[in-house]
Amino acid sequence: MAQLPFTNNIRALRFAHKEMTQGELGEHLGLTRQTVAAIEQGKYSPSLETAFRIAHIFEQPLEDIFIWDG
Amino acid sequence: MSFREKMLWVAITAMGLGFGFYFVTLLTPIGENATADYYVGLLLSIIGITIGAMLIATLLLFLRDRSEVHFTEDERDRDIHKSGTQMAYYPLLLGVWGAGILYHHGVSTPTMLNALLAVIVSAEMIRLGYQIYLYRKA
Repeated sequence: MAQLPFTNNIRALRFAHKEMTQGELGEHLGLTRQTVAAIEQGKYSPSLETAFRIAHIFEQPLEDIFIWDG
Repeated sequence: MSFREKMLWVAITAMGLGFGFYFVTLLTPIGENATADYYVGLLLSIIGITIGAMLIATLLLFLRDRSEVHFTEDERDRDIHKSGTQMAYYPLLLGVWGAGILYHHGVSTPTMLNALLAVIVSAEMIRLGYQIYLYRKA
């Protein structure tokens, strides 16, 4: 799988939010810990719905979480 | 390693060993004197062992860390599942056509049925293997 054309700040945001674990974030999103890890590492492109859910949890605009590198 | 990936490893190992034994028995002199009933029994045993291995693995994983056991697929699991199924579709289609052509050219019904079984098992191994590859890659 090719590297995605965008990066994200999910890891930093998790730590800023009471050091939320990948498992805890996954529970909020209905994802496994491994899927959250894959999203964080840029190995898996989440659905638009999940991207919005992440933005909602961290109370940040979508474009502040996912940064286009293309 | 996620719960689903572990289950894929269990399934591919159980199927590989079980059906590997079946086809080796079928194609070598070991099975020369075996009857059709023996092969039907062997086949049913292999299917039972495969399902049993997956149930036991699920139970063991659940007992070890129940938070890791997810019975429902998330979106990445669904994507991987779909990609694996797509990857296995054409080998399955070609194999079924091939078995049909063999039958048309006069092979016996048991041989054709075993060829079909080999096609189905191969397609399933491709599906499982490709899904494991996708889990490993991402």
